[in-house]
Amino acid sequence: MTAPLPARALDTFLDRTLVLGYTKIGLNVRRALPGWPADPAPGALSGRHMLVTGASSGLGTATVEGVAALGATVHLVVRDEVKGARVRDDIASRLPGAVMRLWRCDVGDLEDVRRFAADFGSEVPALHAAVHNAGVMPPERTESAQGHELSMAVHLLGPVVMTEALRPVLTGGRVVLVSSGGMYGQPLRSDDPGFRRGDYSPTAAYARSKRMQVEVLPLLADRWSLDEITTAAMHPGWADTPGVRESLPRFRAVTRPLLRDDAQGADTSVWLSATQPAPPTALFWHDRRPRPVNLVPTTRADEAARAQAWGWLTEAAGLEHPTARTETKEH
Amino acid sequence: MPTVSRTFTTTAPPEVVFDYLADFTNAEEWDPGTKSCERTSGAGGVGTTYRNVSSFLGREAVITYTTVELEHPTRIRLTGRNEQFHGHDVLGIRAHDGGSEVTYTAQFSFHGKSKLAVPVVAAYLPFLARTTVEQMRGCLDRLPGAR
Repeated sequence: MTAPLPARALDTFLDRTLVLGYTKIGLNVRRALPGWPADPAPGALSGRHMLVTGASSGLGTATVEGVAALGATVHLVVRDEVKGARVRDDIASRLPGAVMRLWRCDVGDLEDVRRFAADFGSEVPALHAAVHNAGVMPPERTESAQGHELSMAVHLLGPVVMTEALRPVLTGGRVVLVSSGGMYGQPLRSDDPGFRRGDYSPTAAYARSKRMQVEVLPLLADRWSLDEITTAAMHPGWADTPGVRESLPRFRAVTRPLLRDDAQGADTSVWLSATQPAPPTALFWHDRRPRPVNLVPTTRADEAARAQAWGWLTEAAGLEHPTARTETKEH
Repeated sequence: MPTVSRTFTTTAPPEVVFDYLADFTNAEEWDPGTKSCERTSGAGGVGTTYRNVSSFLGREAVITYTTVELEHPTRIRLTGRNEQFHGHDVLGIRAHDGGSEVTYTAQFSFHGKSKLAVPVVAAYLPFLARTTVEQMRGCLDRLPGAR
């Protein structure tokens, strides 16, 4: 990860200007700089199983294709099996050797996530990496089956519950949470994780859930380190995804020529899954490098807020109660 | 609000690190600023309180610490309070290379006249953090169970 100082300086400059860094300009410049972290070796994932949620469109599809090209057996987790099958067949026509399997799961419904994880765990003995890519931006405030605000349920609760349930098969593996650069604009709102107060805005709800992801990332990483799992969050930059087309048409109209394609947006997810040795845990990544989680001081969370967020998450995701383990511990 | 955070590795495994640091009376050993620390209520779990006497820039202060989170074996959080001081001490522990990686974060604010001390404390923090982490790591590396 070492690069010459001028290259590092330019990389950081691109990152902080957002528009330069997050568009395809940033990725193309960075790729050309000395010190760009090497591509995973060909076949780096052969014999390994990968899970990708939200696999039937945009970055999810590109992630599936990226890891399949490296030899992985890929499990596509989708809500719509018809659409999923079409995507799978599309990829198979481009990568004839690819081994892919389709699973149906609604990541926003924790009961369905638990059902899926139990089925999955009983069939796949060792999972190398899970990429939690599924995303939503509901136009109106929407609640999940368990009564959680839907973007929070899909981006945080579902991935946490799924990972917890898959811990036995994920030992020594990796977890990638696909976050968003949009989270830089929102502080941690641990006082209102359900977006019950104030006027709901789709982009604010989306960004808040992505902010919550990166704030609890270190705590999740510590928890999952006990099974030697490497946990990462990443943001893809600005990519021309179906989510952007539907939810942010004006943003897209202005920025379209500069937006990344899906493979460019998925690059860091694929790299984090496949690079050897495993990258350090608990970091937030963009374009193959760790990035800060705050760009402005006003979004910086204090310890009380982070503790409140963690308390809410352990409750909402039904994580084992912190003290239960201590009491039953044998000495 | 002054905050300092440092990450270091130790050869002691997470359970050993957790048990040692969760008992805050051990601050007498690992915290260069602590002169004495005794348990005043509770059995070591969440809600346990400690009377901590610290010396700080030549002054002595009595701070009541309370254990507010214990998540075996990865997370310990204590709050410290007196009339002028309010702080959080957070310890994050993760498995690393047969031992542990520990992140120590201290965050605090001052009230009343002590507010004037904030810039001094902020300037002094990097030094304080370094000596604390060195001493803590030394203590952890010597624990039974450390390699």
